[in-house]
Amino acid sequence: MVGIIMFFAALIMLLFGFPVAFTFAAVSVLFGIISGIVEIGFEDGIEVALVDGFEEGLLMFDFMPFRIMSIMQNTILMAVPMFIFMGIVLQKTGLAERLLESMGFLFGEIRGGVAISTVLVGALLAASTGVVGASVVAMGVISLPVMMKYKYDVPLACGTICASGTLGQIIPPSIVLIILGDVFQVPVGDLFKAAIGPGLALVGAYILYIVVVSFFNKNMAPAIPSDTSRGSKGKQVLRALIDIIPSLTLILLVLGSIFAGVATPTESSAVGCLGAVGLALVYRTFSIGMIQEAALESVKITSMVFGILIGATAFSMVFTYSGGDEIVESFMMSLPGDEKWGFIIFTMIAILILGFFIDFVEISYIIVPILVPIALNLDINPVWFAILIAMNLQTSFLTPPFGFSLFYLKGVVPSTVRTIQIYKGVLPFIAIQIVVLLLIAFYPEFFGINPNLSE
Amino acid sequence: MLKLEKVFDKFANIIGYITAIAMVLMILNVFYDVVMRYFFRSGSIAMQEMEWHLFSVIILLGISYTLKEDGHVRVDLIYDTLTDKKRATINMIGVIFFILPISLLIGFASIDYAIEAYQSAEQSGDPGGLTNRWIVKSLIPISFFLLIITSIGFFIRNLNAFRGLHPIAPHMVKGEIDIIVNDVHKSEENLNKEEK
Repeated sequence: MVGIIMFFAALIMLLFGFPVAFTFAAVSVLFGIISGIVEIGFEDGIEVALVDGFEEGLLMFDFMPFRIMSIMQNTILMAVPMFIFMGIVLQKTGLAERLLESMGFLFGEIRGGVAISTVLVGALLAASTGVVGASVVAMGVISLPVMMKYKYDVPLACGTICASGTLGQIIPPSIVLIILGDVFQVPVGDLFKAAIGPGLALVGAYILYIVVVSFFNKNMAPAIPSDTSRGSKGKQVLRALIDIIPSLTLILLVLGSIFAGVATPTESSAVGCLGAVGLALVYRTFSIGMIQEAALESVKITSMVFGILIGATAFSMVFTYSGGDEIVESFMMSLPGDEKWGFIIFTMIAILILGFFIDFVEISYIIVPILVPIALNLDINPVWFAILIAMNLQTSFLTPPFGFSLFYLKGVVPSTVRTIQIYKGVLPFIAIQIVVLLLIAFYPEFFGINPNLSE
Repeated sequence: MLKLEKVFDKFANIIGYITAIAMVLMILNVFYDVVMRYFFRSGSIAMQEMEWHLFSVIILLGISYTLKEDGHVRVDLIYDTLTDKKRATINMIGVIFFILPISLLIGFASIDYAIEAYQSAEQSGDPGGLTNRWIVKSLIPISFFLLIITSIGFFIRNLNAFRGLHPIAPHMVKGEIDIIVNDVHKSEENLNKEEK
């Protein structure tokens, strides 16, 4: 029971806003002591219970060095900082800006064209840089003014930008998938491969939505008069290709070598880093200062993730010690309906709701480890379940009021755009995400995923 | 007090630079191993083990630097709406009750862990691996004691903010947006130049 109380206590403590990593660590120390006291029991008097229980609880933390050591030796997770570094270097070559300039008007003459281009650029950036914040900001600074100038519906424009920016979470190489691969103990390459179908489906669904909505509502996203100064269509396509091909080639090599089983994600990410630096040299954005900035930035994101991982390790240690995992398991098994579907539906709803308040890293390291053994017991293919979770977590980047990409867009929109317009704009995209999530849940074979563990 | 704050900031920045160098070295190290493995069909176990040694430097020491940069994620649901004074209070209480206990606990527990490795002259289980395993193991206590030092700096900064000496630096996302917007404008300028 202590474990369950600890879980909710942690959620409440998080609300104070102190960094999540330390909050989890502190809560686990507190409840480590409490469960130590409960374990010793009060039969020999209060004093014995308190003193011995205190020691018993703290004794648990002697295992922490061993746990931390195994995190240090985890070569899968080593790919996390390197993919981040690669993305930041590519971003600093001005890839986003160049793509938005060259592709922005490619479909301008059809209704919703600029929004469609934005989605496509978002997808390309997702595969190359994968940095959600930077993508959203670049699109917010460059595409939003264009869409507003041509009288696009403001919510639609904002929603498109936020949603396209979050694609980096599901389209490989994505940090979420590496982390989930580690938690589920499945090859990261398998997750990357499995995520391609769902990622493309999402891109397709976004575009379909924009096409449909601008077809039925002529004022939503008017066509832009063609402008000869931008050159012929052929020229524009050519320019876009020239802009994307170097980065796309790099990313295809990186992903290709992982899919072909030639290299591990960690090896590929290192090669990708060198490739990105090479591109920076070609685009003349390379400087020692740039490398230093990119390295510091990747260190920051990396230690943020690993801080949470260490805090979460302490947390789950105490959680398991106090028998919390057994309580969760028996609860999940007692859900109404089919055991398997009851479990999947409940966990998806729970993660969706938690995603409103906490980050994907916390969910991946606190919630998901509790679910993994149950999923395996129920003969659920971990790859399928991981993709469902990744898709679900991506939604959390969009959900108001704390969605990550909303913050970034809010930071750069002109003052005439009201926050409520951004919220209104993302709603249809959240709905699309949920529909695609349901499709993956009910028709996994269509996306090339086997839902069962046993063949 | 402001001066003291600067000293601690400098200290954390040095840690940051060390991790940044470790980051670059790790990339080169992994790249070297890839080249050796695929093109020369050889490779040294020691170099492969070096990879995670450098990785450990990044993730362990980086925690301190990230604290100074205020880069650890928060649930800012309520935090964002508070005054600077209240935020500073939360941060100061957090240092004392949230960071210090766990750091001391793990810090001291891992000293013995490292000493044991030293006394038993522990080394890699693989032939040709790195010796002196105690060095990487002592990174654990070192990182947690560094975290204690930087969290004192973090405490002082928030104390200064509490006393109204300076505002609380904008939280991660907001500071980051400014940097990215700058980058975007720079790239746009470059693009325009190229076109002309």
